[in-house]
Amino acid sequence: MKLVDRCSLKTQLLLIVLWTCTVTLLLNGVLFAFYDLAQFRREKARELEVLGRVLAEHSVAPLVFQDMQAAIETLEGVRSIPAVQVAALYTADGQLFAVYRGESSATVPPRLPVHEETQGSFQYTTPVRWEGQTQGYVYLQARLLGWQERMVRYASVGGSVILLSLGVSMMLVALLQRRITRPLDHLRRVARSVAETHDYSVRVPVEGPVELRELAATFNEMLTRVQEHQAVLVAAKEAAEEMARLKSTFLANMNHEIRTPLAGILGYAQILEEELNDPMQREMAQVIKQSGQRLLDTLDALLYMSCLEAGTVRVRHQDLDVVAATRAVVDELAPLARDKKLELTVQSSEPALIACVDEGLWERLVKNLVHNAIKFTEEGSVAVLLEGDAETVQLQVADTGIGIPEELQSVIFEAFKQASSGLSRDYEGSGLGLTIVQRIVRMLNGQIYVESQPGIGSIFTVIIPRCRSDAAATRATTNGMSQQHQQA
Amino acid sequence: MDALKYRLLLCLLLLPGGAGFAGTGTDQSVPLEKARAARIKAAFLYHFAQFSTWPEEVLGDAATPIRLCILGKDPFGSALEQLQGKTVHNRPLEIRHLPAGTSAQGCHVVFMGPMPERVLQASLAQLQHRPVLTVGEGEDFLKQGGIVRLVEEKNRVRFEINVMAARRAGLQLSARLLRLARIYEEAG
Repeated sequence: MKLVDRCSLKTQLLLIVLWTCTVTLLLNGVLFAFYDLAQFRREKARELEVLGRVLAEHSVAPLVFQDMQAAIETLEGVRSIPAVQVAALYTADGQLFAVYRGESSATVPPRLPVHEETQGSFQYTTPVRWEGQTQGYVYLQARLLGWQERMVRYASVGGSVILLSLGVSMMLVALLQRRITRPLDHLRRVARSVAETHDYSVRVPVEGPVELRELAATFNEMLTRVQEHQAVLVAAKEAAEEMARLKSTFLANMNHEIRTPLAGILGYAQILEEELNDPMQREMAQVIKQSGQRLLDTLDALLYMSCLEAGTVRVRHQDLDVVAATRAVVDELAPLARDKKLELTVQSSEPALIACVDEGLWERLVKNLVHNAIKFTEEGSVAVLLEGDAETVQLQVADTGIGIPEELQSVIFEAFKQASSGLSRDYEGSGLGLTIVQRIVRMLNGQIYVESQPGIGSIFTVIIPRCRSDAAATRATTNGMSQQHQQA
Repeated sequence: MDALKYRLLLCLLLLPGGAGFAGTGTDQSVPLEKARAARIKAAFLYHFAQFSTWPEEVLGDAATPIRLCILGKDPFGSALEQLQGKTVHNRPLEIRHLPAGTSAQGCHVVFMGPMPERVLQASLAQLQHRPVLTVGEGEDFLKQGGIVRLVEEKNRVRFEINVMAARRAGLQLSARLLRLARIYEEAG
């Protein structure tokens, strides 16, 4: 930023005017001085001419009568004019006749006419005429004296004029600049207050020059618009919030309204399955139960997903033994695996792994992954492996299922897409399972990877930090301490 | 500008009146040669005519020549030939030779050559109150009533003027001429 840009508008205006004044006045002064110098020269030349004429007049008789002494005395009449360096008389045929030297060093041309110009001095030659004949010539050579004094006087007078003018213009600017700076100052103050207080109801007074009036008017209009938009936005926000609240209520209601009859259906289907003796009828009751269960699962996933989308899932991170939690979930799913004659195992590197996670999220994560693995595996096994180090906990779910083609591995986490969606509808499910998994992993600040080969199986790996990420920043510095803490 | 003019006029006024006579020539050692002296004197006669003004009535009409008369013996010889065809105040210059003792009526400038003292005095007396510029060389020429006297001084020719005589004759001599001349003061 230049130094000038740091000054206020008022100062800059002042500087501009002062600069302009100074430059103009200086230019004027210099031009006028040059003009005056030229005038001075012309005047001096003219004086020399007059002097030459007078000398010529008085040199007639001395030339006519060849009286050199008288001629010299006539020429010496110019002694009182110090500027004259040489005064000389030449005869009609150009011979030097008489000479007066103002300075002993002055050179006198031996013959007329003189062709060479002497630097810094004037020359003047005039014929001496008498009775219609040229009797001889008067030659004068003079310096330009006194111009330095004149210039010095000029400089001093010019300097005082400039100072005076600057003073006057400074006063005038100080008085007149307010017409420009005051509206701008108002504008600035209002803009700042709007930026600080967000109060769009203030207005700038419209005053000053046309541009500033226009600026103020535009600014006011802008404020009006912002005010209107703000009102609209506030209303929209309130409406949206109301809507979201209604939606949440609706969802909660729906949850209740759908679960309650489903619980009835499932409950009675279970009873029917146990009570009925006819294998045919028992199978029908079983279908009712399975269909209800599937509907419940889908509904569950859907509701959970919408809760995640709306951000209404309450997350409470606390120390949790993930090994125990995982075993509990896997035990729940064991009947499914047993039905499909799959081997379902849980292995852990350590008997207990404590991580700071939300219990519900972790259970949902394990359940979705293991359920998925069981769902897409026809024979073989599903293995859950838990490992932990100082920083992270790693959950691995490996199956021997149909696997995922490489080109689809990147899209499986997107909502509503089953890897097999385009291929077959052999497998039940909403396609939300992996999406929910990914959301949960994100909420736990973890990462998820998938390795798969179609026909051989898939391995899903989830790595999550043992502590929450807002603690992660301090973890680096207090690394040793936290390890001690964990050991303790 | 004006200041300069005044200064100039002042310094010219302050020039010594008899300046023309005060000086001494630069090459004094060489004596004035006879022929050269004659030539200079002849030229001076012509210039005296140029620097003099005659009353209107004696000049007559515009065609009337200015007559330069040599009274008595002509000391100039061929030197006067250089004046042939010259003009004075836009009038032709006419040179006449008159024997000594004759009347110089009708002449404007009269040079009195060597002649007996008596004849000279008579001639001067005759021309005394007439507008005739008398030029001579004699020691007492001015005392006797002549107007201009030529003086050979070292290597130069100078001249002496009797202003009173000129005034009596009704002739007006230019100040330029007077400035170069030695002014003769009449006794009494």
